[in-house]
Amino acid sequence: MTYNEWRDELKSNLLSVTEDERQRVLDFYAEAYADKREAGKSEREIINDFGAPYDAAQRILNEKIDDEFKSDVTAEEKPTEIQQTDRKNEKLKKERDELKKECEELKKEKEREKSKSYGGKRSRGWLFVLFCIIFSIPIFVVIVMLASVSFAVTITPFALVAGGAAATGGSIGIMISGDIAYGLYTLGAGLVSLGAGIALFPLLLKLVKLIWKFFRIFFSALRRVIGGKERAV
Amino acid sequence: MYSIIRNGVYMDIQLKKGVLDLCVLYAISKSESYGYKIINDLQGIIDISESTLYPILKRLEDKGNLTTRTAEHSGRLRRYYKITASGLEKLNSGKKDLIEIQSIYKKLFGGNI
Repeated sequence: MTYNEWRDELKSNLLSVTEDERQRVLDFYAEAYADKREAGKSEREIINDFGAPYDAAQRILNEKIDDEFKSDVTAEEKPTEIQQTDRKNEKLKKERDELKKECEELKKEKEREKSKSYGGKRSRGWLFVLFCIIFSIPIFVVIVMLASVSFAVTITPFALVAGGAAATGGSIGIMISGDIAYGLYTLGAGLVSLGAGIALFPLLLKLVKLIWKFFRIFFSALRRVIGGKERAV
Repeated sequence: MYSIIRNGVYMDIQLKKGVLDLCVLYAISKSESYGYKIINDLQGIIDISESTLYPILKRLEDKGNLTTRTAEHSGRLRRYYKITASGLEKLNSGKKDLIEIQSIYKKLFGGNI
């Protein structure tokens, strides 16, 4: 170990003392080192004389602790070493108590946050139930309405065709029975109905398709809304 | 048991400290001195190193038993220590204590120390 290394180690062991005091210690050793070198001693011999830097620092620190507490010292009190150990223990105990307090505070805070988030989840659940109750009735009405319209629109061309065919057939019977004028009227009405039914087929098919498309859009939107809420819960 | 050991350890350390303080005061009692010289002057009387000397000098200075001054020596600074009146008083009182201890020792164990 060189003198510079020794001095640096001493310095690092004296971080708890004031800058002035640390500098004074370093000056003391620098002076002793220079005097010993002047006297012809080698660097190694001098380092050996100085002893371990940790021990040198400890002696200074112990002296400092003694000074701080010397007003309490009496002949009946504990020896210096025991006093120092007691003080260290007391300091450690204080630190441990503070840490314990901090831990408890953190625990409490965590519990508060937990209960808060649980309350939030619960309130979201209730909102979802409320949402279902409020919106299920109109949704059901819309579904029934769409189904009815679809059914009606689908059945109309069939009804017109069937009605037209029946009227046409019936008109022949009426004319045979002698009432030619009424028979022709019925035939005309039947043919109109038949024609209208056939003519409406593609148009009504398109309308049904449109309604089903609307159905799909409505249900997918509904699924998105409900699914989103469920994930949030 | 604990009390005896406890007081025993305490007294031992205090006694050593007191003797070392007296030795250092003695080393600077004739004329002002500096660290390296103090250690050299005490060689053969008591084994003392720099790490022991520094806290003693600091303690004696804090108590007002010595004063310090810095002067240049060979292009560098050197700190000189000078005994004060209270330091001399302490030295004389310490001498008396040591004589008393010596007397007690002789009575207890006989012969020279």
